[in-house]
Amino acid sequence: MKVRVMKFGGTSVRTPEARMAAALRVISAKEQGYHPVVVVSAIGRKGEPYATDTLLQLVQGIDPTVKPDARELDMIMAVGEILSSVVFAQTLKSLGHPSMSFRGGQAGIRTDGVYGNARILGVNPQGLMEGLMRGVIPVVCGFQGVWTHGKLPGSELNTLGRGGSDTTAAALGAALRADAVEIYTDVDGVKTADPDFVREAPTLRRVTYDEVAEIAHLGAKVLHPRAAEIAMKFSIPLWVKNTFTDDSGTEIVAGVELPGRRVTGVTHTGKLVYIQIDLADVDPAHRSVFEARVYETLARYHVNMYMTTLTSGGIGFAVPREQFAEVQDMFDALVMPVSTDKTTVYLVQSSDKESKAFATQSQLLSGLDDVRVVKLSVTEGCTMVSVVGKDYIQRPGVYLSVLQTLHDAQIPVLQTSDSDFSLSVLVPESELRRGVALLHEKLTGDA
Amino acid sequence: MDQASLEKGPFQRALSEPVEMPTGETEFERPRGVHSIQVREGYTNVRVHGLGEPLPESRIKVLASVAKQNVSLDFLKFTPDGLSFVVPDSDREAVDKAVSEVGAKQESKGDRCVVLAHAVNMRDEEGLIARLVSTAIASGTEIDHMGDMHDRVLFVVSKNDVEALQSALKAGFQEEAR
Repeated sequence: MKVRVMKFGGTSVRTPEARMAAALRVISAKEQGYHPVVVVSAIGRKGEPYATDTLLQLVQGIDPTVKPDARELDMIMAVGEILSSVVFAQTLKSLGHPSMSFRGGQAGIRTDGVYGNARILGVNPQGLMEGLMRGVIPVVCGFQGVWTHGKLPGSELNTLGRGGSDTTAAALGAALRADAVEIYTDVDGVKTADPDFVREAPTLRRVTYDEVAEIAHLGAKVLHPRAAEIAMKFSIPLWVKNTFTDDSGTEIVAGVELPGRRVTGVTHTGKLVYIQIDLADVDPAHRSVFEARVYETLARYHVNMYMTTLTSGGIGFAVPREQFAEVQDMFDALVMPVSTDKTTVYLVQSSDKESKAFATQSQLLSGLDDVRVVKLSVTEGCTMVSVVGKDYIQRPGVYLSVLQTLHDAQIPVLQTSDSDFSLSVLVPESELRRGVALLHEKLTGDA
Repeated sequence: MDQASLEKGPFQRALSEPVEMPTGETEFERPRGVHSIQVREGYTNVRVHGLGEPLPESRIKVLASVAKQNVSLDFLKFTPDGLSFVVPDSDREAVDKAVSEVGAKQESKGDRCVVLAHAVNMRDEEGLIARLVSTAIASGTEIDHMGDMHDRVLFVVSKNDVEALQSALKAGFQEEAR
């Protein structure tokens, strides 16, 4: 049985016309002799009636001061995909093709019980196979599975977190031994840069699993790394295609030589705030304890760090702007006893102006012998631009090219960061478009 | 979906037909946490300091001189008065020459290793990178540099600290991954 898993994102199921275009792709696959299994996301994007954010607002909007439980949020979020799957199945049926909607649990997706960010433990595709054998096109809700807990009579619904529908598609592809998994979206495939910033950015015809996972890690919204990981583990051919054009799309392949291309892409993250802590006033004997406490605090509050820097002069890291207020709040007036005899205490000031909390703590600690104030230096309005390319990054002079290009354009670089496949620069958000376009032009030209 | 559920459900008519299907359940995503640790040896950490103003131009001069020696560098970081980076030990001499050619001061520390802590989908496990750094520092390891990817965090440390760092990461994360 030749199975093809076809996943359609929010924009591909947003309107009746879009759903018709998507449905015709499914029917075309069937006519070519495949047994299609469809995976759908919720209908539309943020702000639209059936989008996930709109559903969440129904619950969160009741009283913003009362935080809903993660379990309840999973229940409401899953509705978006359920609705989408029923509508899509009916669209196929109206075109003369028997179809049935399946919730994640009905499709056999078993999860680890973590509400809001579950991982897939296993998939038993028996139910889907039964449908396929009868000529039915299954339409599976993306982004969800079930957790079976021994003490509970039924099973608990879990959502899979970011990129959940891509993950559903890859997992079903593996479980059904699919010939291919196709991720349909509203662009032609994986681009070398965000087409909103670089209109002529070409579509990559082949890219490795690792590269696509890395560009997603660094901000590109093409395919979720979890889906790439599953596809890589099970050697499933994976494609990113456009629902609305006949472009051949991008094939995601194993780590083979890809001649003729050196830069996978120039990507960018969202809005960041760069925080630096000058450790000049920290006694060298206390430094490691102080640093460890800073990172423990960040971990405790689940802060997502970018550009982590540890130098002899201090430490630095960037955080998403939406997390910044919380970070500033958690560090403000934080008291850090570091020596075992507690004679030295560090007090953190997280903004230029002394807060009431800081003033109160200072007063309370005034009786101690050795209280040292450590200030956070905050740079708001930053963003991170990254160059991804496994072979290219190893080439001598790449950093020079990047920094020289930005320097010539008078774009200041606040910090840099790199890994095996990528290098990143932290730049002012106001220079984002120019930075991406210039680096794309320079580096894809060089390559 | 078990057999009993199927008999009650919409597939009851199909149950008598022969069905070819993958048997049992397929296991998928790796568990959360660090699933493996890898060590790469043979690196030197170079700190170039005391660069003159304007700093961005001085840094570019250093990088241009290093590139002229055909040396690929990693873990580049800006410091208040210069920059630092990591090169293979085999390139140390070439870097010394490159830096001295532009009249900059430098300090090099050899016997550096890159310790890679592999964990899937790092970015979506909020706080995981901070936990890894905190664990590494608390183990007494002096970290020269670090970087992150979708599936790994990389620490540049002295060869003498590798064992302690590996033990701390294993104790703190690999048990959790099981």
